[in-house]
Amino acid sequence: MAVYEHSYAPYTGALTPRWSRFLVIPRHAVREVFRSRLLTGTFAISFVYPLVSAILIYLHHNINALSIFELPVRALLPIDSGFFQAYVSTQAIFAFLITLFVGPALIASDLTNNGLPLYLARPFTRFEYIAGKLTVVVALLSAVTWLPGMLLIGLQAYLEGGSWLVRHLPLVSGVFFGSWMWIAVLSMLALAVSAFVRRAIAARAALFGAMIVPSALAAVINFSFRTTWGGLVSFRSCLDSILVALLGSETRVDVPAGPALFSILLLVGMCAGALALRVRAYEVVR
Amino acid sequence: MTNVIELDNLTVSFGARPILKGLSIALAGRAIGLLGPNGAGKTTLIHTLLGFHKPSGGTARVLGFDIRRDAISMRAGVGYMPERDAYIAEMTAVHLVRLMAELSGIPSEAALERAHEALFFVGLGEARYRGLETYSLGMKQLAKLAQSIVHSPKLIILDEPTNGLDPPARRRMLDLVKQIRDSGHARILFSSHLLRDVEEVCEDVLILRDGQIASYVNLEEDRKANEGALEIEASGDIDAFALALAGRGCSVTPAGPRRARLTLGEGMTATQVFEIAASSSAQVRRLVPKRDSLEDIFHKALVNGRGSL
Repeated sequence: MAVYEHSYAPYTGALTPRWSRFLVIPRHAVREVFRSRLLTGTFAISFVYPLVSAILIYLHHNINALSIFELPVRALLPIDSGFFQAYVSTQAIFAFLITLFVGPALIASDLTNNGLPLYLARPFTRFEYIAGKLTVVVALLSAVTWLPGMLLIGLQAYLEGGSWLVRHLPLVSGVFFGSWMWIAVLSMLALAVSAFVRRAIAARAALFGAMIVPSALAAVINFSFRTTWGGLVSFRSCLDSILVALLGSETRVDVPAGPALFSILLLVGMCAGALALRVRAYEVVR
Repeated sequence: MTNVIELDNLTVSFGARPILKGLSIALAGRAIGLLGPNGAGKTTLIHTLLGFHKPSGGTARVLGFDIRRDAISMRAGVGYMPERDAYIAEMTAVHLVRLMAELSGIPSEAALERAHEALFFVGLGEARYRGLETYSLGMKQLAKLAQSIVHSPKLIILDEPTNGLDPPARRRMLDLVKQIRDSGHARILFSSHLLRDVEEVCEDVLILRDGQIASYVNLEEDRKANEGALEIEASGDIDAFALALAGRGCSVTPAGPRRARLTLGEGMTATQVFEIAASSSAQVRRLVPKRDSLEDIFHKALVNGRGSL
């Protein structure tokens, strides 16, 4: 029907597969997200560290370049578990900043404007809605964490030779799973906060607090009780512990990886429960 | 006409508070009005049909799909216009309607085309690139209507679509709903507390009271049943006049002092009523055709229906 024919006519074309419909949300959301110059700038800056890392890896394997810059090989950081631990930890900070921009508005704006019934009155479940919103954050964070990380490992393996990769397989799983742990925690926390705090700015403050307050609390517990187990309440300490264990690094950590993983799973589970509670078409007053 | 909605002992409770109490009925009209006083359970019924609330007992079928088992398949064929303001922040109308079409399974390019069509259809063609936050209340209502029809649903559920509209906007909304109804492509469930709107748009009316069905009437059949019904006011020898009318096969029901409701006998005309009055020494002061308005039906249903007054 031509748009100027103002009559009601049904759609008779083909439909998209049901499984793919949750991807409609990130496709539309990402377009909106990059309207913010601040986010676009942060997103671009978050690729500086991977770029510097790539240059360092390249210099390690290029004597000519080293001689041009008059750099001794020893002055360069060694390409080992510490190098990739620093990479994941640095990129996690950028991931947090990006989450701070993107996450809080995702559900909060739908709740504020009563948009949820519009989604959920369609052949679209609450799970698909949450999956769609989650994909927005996960896609952006993947782009600045494990995806460049895998490229760095690929570059190092290419320049060093295939045997390096075989000898350093824990690095691959460490960067991959370590990044994914950060992504899971940040995205679930952001959505849970977004589902409870309707104003995006307040949700941002709450998310910032969720990062800072547990770390401060952990420090207070550790100081008061002369222990290191206070780190269990700080998801940052827990994620660091898990990353160190995954990379096989010898860095000293507050809590062992097992309890840290349990603490992280508990946090993600609580966020999932909060989302299940809040993401409803209408709130029922009992 | 096939049933569009079937309620089978449908019960919904919020905690210990029963909201819908064992509703059982089959609704088959092209446009069904849903009426009831505030708190009667209209919106809860709509939300339950859409799968937003789980029934605590019984079930319902919408377009043949059980709402407990096939809610997703059912919602593919349903369009919903919520009562309250509902939009997605920082979106233009065309963006919103396109997004909703895509969520219903229409491919991206076709969804954009459908979004333009739907917005032109509801009269927002010129304003379709404006942000929804800048829309007036009437425009927001039209945008909600556009998103509810963009995917060609077989049933369109309109919850208070004329709420807060000024007379021209209300007229426009009712005309659009009638146009959709007359196209035959979709059936309509029209919930409103404005009896005139329901009377204008709907053929069948379901009246709820206190979570129970107070009445379900087909307005056309009701009108036909009332053909030949008159309201009469007379003076003089009223008793003799009433007897004479009864003798000619008329049914006379007193409706106040000197007033009665009169159903004419077989083959009788109103003129003959005057002749009978003259022969009975009575004078007809007023004689008007009596047709139950929806207001009468609504009032009767609330007084006499299963819901107690």
